[in-house]
Amino acid sequence: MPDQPNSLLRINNLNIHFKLGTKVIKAVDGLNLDINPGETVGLVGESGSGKTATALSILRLLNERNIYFKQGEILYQSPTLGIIDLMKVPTKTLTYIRGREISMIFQEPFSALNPIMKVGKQVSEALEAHQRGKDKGFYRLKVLGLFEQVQFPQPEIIYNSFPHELSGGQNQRILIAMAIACKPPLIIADEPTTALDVTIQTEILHLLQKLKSEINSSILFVSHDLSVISQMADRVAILKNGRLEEFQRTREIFSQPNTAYTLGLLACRPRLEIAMKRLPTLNEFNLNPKKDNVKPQTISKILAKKRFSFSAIEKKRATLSKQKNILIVEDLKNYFRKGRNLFQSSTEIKAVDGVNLHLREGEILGLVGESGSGKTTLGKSILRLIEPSGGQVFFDGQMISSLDFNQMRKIRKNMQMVFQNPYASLNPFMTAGQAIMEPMKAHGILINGSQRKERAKTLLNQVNLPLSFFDRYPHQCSGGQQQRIAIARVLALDPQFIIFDESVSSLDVSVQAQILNLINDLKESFRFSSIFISHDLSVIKFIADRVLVMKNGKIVEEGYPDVLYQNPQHAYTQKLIDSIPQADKKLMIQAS
Amino acid sequence: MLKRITLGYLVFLLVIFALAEFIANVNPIIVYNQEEWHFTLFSGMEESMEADFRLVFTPLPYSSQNQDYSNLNLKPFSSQGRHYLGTDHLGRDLLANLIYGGRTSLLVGVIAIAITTLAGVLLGGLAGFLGDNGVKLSVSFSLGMIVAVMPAYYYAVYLRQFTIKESFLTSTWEAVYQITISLLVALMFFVIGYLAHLVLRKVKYFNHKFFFPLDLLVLKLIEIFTSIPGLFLILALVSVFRPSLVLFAFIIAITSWTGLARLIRAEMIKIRGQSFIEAAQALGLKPLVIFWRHALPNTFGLIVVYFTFGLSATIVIESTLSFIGAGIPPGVTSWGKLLAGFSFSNWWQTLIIAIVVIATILAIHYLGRILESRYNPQSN
Repeated sequence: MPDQPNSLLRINNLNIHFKLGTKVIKAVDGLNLDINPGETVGLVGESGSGKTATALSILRLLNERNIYFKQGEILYQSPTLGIIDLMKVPTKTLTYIRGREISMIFQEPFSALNPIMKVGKQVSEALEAHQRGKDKGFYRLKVLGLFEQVQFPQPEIIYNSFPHELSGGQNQRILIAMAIACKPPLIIADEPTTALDVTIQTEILHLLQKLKSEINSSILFVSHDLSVISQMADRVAILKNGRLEEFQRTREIFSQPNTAYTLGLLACRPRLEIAMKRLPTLNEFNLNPKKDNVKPQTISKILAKKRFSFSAIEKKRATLSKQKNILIVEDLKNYFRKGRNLFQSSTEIKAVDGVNLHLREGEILGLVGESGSGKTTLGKSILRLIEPSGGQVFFDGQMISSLDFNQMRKIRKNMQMVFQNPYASLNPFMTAGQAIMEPMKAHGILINGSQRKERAKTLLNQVNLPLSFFDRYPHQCSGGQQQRIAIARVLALDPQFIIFDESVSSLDVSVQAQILNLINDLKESFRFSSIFISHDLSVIKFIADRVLVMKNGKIVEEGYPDVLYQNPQHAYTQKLIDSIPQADKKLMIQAS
Repeated sequence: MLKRITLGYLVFLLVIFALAEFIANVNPIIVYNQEEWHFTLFSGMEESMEADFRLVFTPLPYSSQNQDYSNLNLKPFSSQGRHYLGTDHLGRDLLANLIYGGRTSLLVGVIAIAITTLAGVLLGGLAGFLGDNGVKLSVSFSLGMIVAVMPAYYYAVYLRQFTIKESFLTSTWEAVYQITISLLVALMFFVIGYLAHLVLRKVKYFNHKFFFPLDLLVLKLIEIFTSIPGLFLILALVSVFRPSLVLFAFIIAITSWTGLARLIRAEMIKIRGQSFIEAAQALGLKPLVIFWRHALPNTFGLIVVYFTFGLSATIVIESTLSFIGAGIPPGVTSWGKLLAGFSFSNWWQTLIIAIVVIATILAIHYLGRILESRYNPQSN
């Protein structure tokens, strides 16, 4: 299969090295890849594995100035120009190819569109660049046709909209319309659904499949998510540190992974169907490339070891239900006014609309919902980081909604929050050690600096970071390490209650597993209760003792995770469960 | 390498400026007269010394305003006299002028930009960070302060205005002293106002709190300052006060703080929205601690760039103002004045001055970059 003579694109021994300071980073290291006509190839890897560098290098979109060394050939079989090497062709040829024969769909639909241009105009610009000399009506009709093709019910209205007036999913459709405008033989999709909600993601994936068969083009689908890939791709290439780990048919990747790395990637994702005590991590798989003969049974063996037996869950629930409530939220509301101007009255957005909930001591309460469902606003309203419009919050028997600023500041010692984006939540001017000592200083914990320093070091140790991280700045750490620092900073106050706001969603699957295990361990040693906010049902299923489903500011369903997933009562919960890519289910069959 | 040259050059300049009197001075350092040694560097020689003396001179025996009538329009490196870089049409030594002028220019620049940065960063930064609903004041507090303004103005400004004006004519330090007294008087009334607030607070109506529109007020203040034409303000101030270096630095600061304030305010609004600020709030840090330790360091790059560019801009402003006679007081030389005195017959003079000025400005800019990379952990 890899050596078919008539492949559409063939990458031979591609090397791309960047230079960062004095360090040379091999972003792509001897990569071989081929894409056949009409085929979808998935390119999977963790962040830093070189998948985006590979995708961008095909159209030579990488900034030449940053490239320290590049080598290899990217042979492309053009229907008009014959076989050309995209590494060597002049820029003029490349301009001809870009958009017309190879087009691209980007990750962030908002930043890929020009905010001050109507989207219809932007799509027609893509057409005008490659089909010159037609009158305006021609382009307009074509764009409207494209909009119909990407399933916009009212293309005329969309044509005259600006990007900010459309949702993320709609913007992604615009980008897709732009990409298929010239019916290119090859579309490169760089994480096209990562920035979108699960339900929207399903729609976009279906749309891509439909369009692919309509215009019969190949897709190079780049993603970090194996389950998304499993739905889309005919063949999957797995990248690790710029090297190709594995490249074979999708079904085989899932049923008979050749390398331990692939196996680890498959195993460390939290699963919907099995309750687990701990998640397997990559380290538990033998990553020695010499011993490649891992049998598929290993995965089920490892999973079986970590299984949480039903009786143990029952027991845990029984003890938890006897605990007293540490947090009670009554009828919490947060309304925003938006869009008031001279000509129109404001519309009221009910971000949080009368939420009641209670959290028992030692419990982890999962809060799940799509973006815009108000779950983050709810979390921040509980902590009064956003002032709620109404309702009451009782923490540890004390009503905190009426406390003044300074009283609230003192209470904050006991109620904490870990944010979604670990890098943004750390001050770039402070080292990890300073960041951890900062809250201790603010609340006068421990007497002097040297004691706080000792404690900070202990905390670093507790979140499994070596002591050398004490003097590191956030940008010198990886995402997982940053999130560990953020967790250590919160734990420095020894809080009774922590809100984790999408705290693992920006991390790689393997890192996500480690952090989730860490949170579970720390919960035992620090004895905090928490609300865990996530859009990812499988993460919630793993970590939470009880789940709340949120939609449009309201709690629509509440229950134990396994009960909820097996027998969802609300249609919205059912929709959320249905939109999870199916790979997990396939894998489950393999595993059990 | 470039870093070493830059730092070396700047240190060299600073040393020269600090020791200017010992390097270029028309007065001899020491005079031996009537079997006594006299230290005459600052006092100059007295008439009685003429009779019998031995002298020790500085390396360059000319001051900045000193005219050598026998050597007018001397070319650089000529053998006449000891004018290493030549003289101008009035016989003033160029090297001496460069040394003294540079000292004035840098001094004025640093003072002016320091005032500018302080005002810009504090006002702009706080306005951007706290916004219109970051400061909550009680009715009693604001009432106390507003009532205190009136006597404070009357006793500290209105009654003492002539004393202060007089003091500006005598000396700068006298003026600083008088202004400090006025400030203390004003402060006293504000303290009384604050005490009144503590009493009034007991009444429920006066304890009512409202948001203080800090951002709005700072923006209006910026608008007012930018709407005043700079040149007219300067001419008005010059007509009232006697030109002095401090006044000049003050003028530059008044006309240029708004730019930095707006810049910092915009940056601060961006920083305020970032999640590490929210994280700091969630950790229970005090607002001013968050401002000082978390928000402000993130504007460091901006401040450094502004500081270095501002320093070089003052030299240009200063030459403009000196040209219309509103800048540096007469009798004091500066780089700006030297540049303003360009003439075609002495073109080489301007060339030499320009080279020194450009080298210094480049060095300061590069120093800014060194500082930025040294203190910003994110730069490589």
